[in-house]
Amino acid sequence: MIKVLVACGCGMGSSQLLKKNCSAVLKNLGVEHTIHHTSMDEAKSTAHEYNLIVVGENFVNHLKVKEGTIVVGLKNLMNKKELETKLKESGIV
Amino acid sequence: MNIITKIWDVMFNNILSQPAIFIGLIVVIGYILLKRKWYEIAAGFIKAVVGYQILQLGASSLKNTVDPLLKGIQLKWSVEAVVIDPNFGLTAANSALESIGVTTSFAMITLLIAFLWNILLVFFRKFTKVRTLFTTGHIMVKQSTVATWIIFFLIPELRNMGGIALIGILCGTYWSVFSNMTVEATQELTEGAGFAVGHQQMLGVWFAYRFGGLFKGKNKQEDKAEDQKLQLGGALKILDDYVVSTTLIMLLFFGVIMIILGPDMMHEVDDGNFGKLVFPVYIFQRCTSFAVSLVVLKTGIRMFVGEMVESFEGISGSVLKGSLPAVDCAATYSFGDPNAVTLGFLFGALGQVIAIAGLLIFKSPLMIIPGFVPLFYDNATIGLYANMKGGFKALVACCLGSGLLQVLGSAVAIVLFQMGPFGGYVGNLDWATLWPAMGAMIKFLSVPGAVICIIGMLIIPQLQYRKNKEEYFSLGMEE
Repeated sequence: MIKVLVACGCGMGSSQLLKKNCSAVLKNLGVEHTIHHTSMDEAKSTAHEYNLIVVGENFVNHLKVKEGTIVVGLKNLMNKKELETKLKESGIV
Repeated sequence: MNIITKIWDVMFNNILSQPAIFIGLIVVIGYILLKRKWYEIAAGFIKAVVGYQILQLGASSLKNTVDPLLKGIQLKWSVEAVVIDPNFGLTAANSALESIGVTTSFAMITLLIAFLWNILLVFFRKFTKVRTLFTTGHIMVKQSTVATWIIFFLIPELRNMGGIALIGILCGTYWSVFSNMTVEATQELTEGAGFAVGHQQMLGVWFAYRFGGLFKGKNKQEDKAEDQKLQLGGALKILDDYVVSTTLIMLLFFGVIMIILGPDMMHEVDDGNFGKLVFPVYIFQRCTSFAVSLVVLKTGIRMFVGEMVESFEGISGSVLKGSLPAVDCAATYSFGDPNAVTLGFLFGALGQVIAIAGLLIFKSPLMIIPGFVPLFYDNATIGLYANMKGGFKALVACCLGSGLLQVLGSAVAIVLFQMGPFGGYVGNLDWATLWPAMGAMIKFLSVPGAVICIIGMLIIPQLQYRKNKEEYFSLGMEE
């Protein structure tokens, strides 16, 4: 079971959709997970509680995470293929 | 008969006039349609109810923070001050509805009808040519609340379920048609990412895309935003943090206003918070409490909208296949030129400041105070599209224009919809241009005016379709 956090600027619009896509992709890959969505400012302070953090590409540099937490940055928040490839590359699945 | 009236009364007082419970029940229905397990349905219900109540808490705290300031402005200069930001607009529309004795549940029914209408238009896309389904719940909540107030205020006879149906259809048509207008622009910007914009500046996006090219210089590749050798990076990056940016913008605008009002006036209108603080600490403390209220408000919205959007999938079901989701404008920020986002924000802000200065110089009885959401999200988005089509000059022109219109158009809207006494209005570009125009039509023609607006909007996708019949429905679709 991995803990996943999805974040966007305000934590309301794009992260909500990304959460849905991310959950579907992880399910397809057979990864058990719990998933939440939130804003970037909250993600910064709670990042250490999660195994995987998925954000838009432009936010990747804003997150400072400890070892053990993987950050995946997406160019197209709506593209499940990109998400799947990047999740596989990250080694979390 | 008596028993039926009594049952209705109980239902009305305990469900319909309790928006938190009402929205919770909508979530339950959606989850039942999705065949969720009973304990998931229960959890969804609780989170929707609690989320809505957090929103109400944030709204009242926001109101308490801003009210003394607006009162101070009124006492000092005898002008009405209004903050143009969708969060303030939502709070103001809620209090406006309460002031005429209407439950805010009505706004939630508007939302539901508008959403169902959007699904219907997408479902019959062969005829309607509508390709996009609005999925941005947090926007839908704000817009349907403000739209409900607008129509209820303009046509008092419509303060009933029939009226709600009309408002729902008006609002749903706006969602469908205007998000549909961003399809071409967004596919070009994102190279076919397969989504459209469903936010509050869709007309602006269309305009920047359609007319941005006109500003292009004679030498083709001369001026993209990326060539403006600006080292914006570091310092402006802190604006990405909502808490920081809100506090700073409030300090900039309200801080200056409070300094001009002076400590004596602030003691008079807000002694409870001022107490024994020194003036600078008081100012800082007030401006941070804006951020506090907004974070609470957003936490509530995120919680109940999260459940609502998921449950809506039970309602929209398979309609989404073959259509494009209209999503938050922020989804476009990882495409195009990243400088355009920052520059768009800066030139939009400049436009707003010029317009506000104009209002002050011409001694307008209404003073506008900028909010973060229209300043940043509108202008950054418009900047991105304008820069793509016409480079830096187009960005400057479109964003300056957008900033000016946001202030001046909102001022017109505030007078037209009498939002002044409630201290807030949406302020996003569509709500400073399209909505006051539609509002004026409805004010003078009443119900027929609303019908004309709906039909007028429905013609737009037909015109779009005529322009590009072959690719129209395949744009942005995966093979």
